[in-house]
Amino acid sequence: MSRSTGITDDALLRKVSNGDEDAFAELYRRWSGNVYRFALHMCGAPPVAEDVMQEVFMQVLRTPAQYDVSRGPFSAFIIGMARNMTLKALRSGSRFTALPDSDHDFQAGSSAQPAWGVAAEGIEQQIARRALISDVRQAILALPPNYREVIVLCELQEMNYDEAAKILDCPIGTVRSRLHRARQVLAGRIRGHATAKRPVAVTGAAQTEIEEVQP
Amino acid sequence: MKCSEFETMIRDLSRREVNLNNGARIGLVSAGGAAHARMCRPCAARLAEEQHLNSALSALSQSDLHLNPPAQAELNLRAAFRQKYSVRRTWRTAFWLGPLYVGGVAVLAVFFMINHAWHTPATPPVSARISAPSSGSASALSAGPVSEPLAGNVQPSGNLTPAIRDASTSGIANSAPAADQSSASAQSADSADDSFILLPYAGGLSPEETASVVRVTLSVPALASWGVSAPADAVSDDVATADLVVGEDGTPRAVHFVRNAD
Repeated sequence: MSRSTGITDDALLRKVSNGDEDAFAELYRRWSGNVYRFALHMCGAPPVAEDVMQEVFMQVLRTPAQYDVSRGPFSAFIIGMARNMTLKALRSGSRFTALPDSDHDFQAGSSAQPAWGVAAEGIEQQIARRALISDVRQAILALPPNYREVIVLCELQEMNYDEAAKILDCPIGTVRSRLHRARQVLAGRIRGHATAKRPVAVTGAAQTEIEEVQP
Repeated sequence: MKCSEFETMIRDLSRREVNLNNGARIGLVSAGGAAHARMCRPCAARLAEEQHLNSALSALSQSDLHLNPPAQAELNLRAAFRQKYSVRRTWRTAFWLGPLYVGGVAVLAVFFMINHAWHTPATPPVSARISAPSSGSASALSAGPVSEPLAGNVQPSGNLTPAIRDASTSGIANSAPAADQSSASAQSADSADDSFILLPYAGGLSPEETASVVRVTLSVPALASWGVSAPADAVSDDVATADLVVGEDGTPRAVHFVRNAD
């Protein structure tokens, strides 16, 4: 894959193997975000995602020749490595504590503006959107790993079926069916969240307020 | 269109943000799906659910686009990179400089040896053991000086014992006093015909002194003046051939007669 500087990932990797630090930095800038976000969406814990990301790049650093361009794009190679390491971390049984969404947004440097960049959005819409994002995030984390990874790859990382199939090392049809099933489950969970929250919103503080206002 | 068929295309429909009231914007298949959704309330609800899910996933994706690993991670990785490749560079440098270094050391060693040989006396110390010469090469003798007092019929003998030759080539100093060695040679002269005989009044060799062996022809009266008598089988025409151990001062210290049979 060729990105902003016009040099292919393969060429960058060759330079890395020759000890070119700038090439390594460029490769890092291209892929660290994707790898980190993939791991974060998969495990929900920023420290684990950071560890996975570092381990992936250390692996690239140790054996740059491991990537074979004939076997697929670099994206599949590097995200595939991240997937394996994340699954290993998930299997290790360690319990991850996901940060609240507000912390996520704060970390993302979005304190000046909402994370979705809609400055003109009303405060109610912002809150609703934030709640929706939180719900989706929780629902994704609650999915089984094989459903979670197709959602993360195809919906959040916006990869096509072919790329996802290479990363997951399975046929495209499997990706398609898993995604369909995962979306069904996800939609059901979001619906469940929404219906579970709605009565609370009505019967909670708002209801009390209404009762106080009305004589 | 059946609901099951609608279900297979629902993701595409939801992604296209189908406006159910505006079928003209979408293709035939999607138009069929949209028409089905208009007629089937559960499928319309399902489509709305999918569209809601799409917008939720899109919002999450947009919100998380700003999430990046901390800057410290890049610094750590770059430090690891530098560490790895500096080690590799060191090995590469060693690979190229190693032979150069070894070559330089070899040149210095040769230079030192030549210089050392230039300053050391050409004659190496005599061996602790002096025994009868046997057949050998003449090259060892050429290193030894021919003593002037014995000028005359001096000729290179070429018969040096391995012990002498070793001492000559290695330059090892005597480990025992030479006088003792010469005495030992003289004492063993009676029992062994091939041994050197210490010349009377010649004195022994000091430990630091070097000596060389030269082959000479001596007249029997001269031998008698040294107090040594040559064996009959070593004399012909009143002349005896002998190997002399000559000290640094040119004084002969010991003699060995070359028998005619030799």
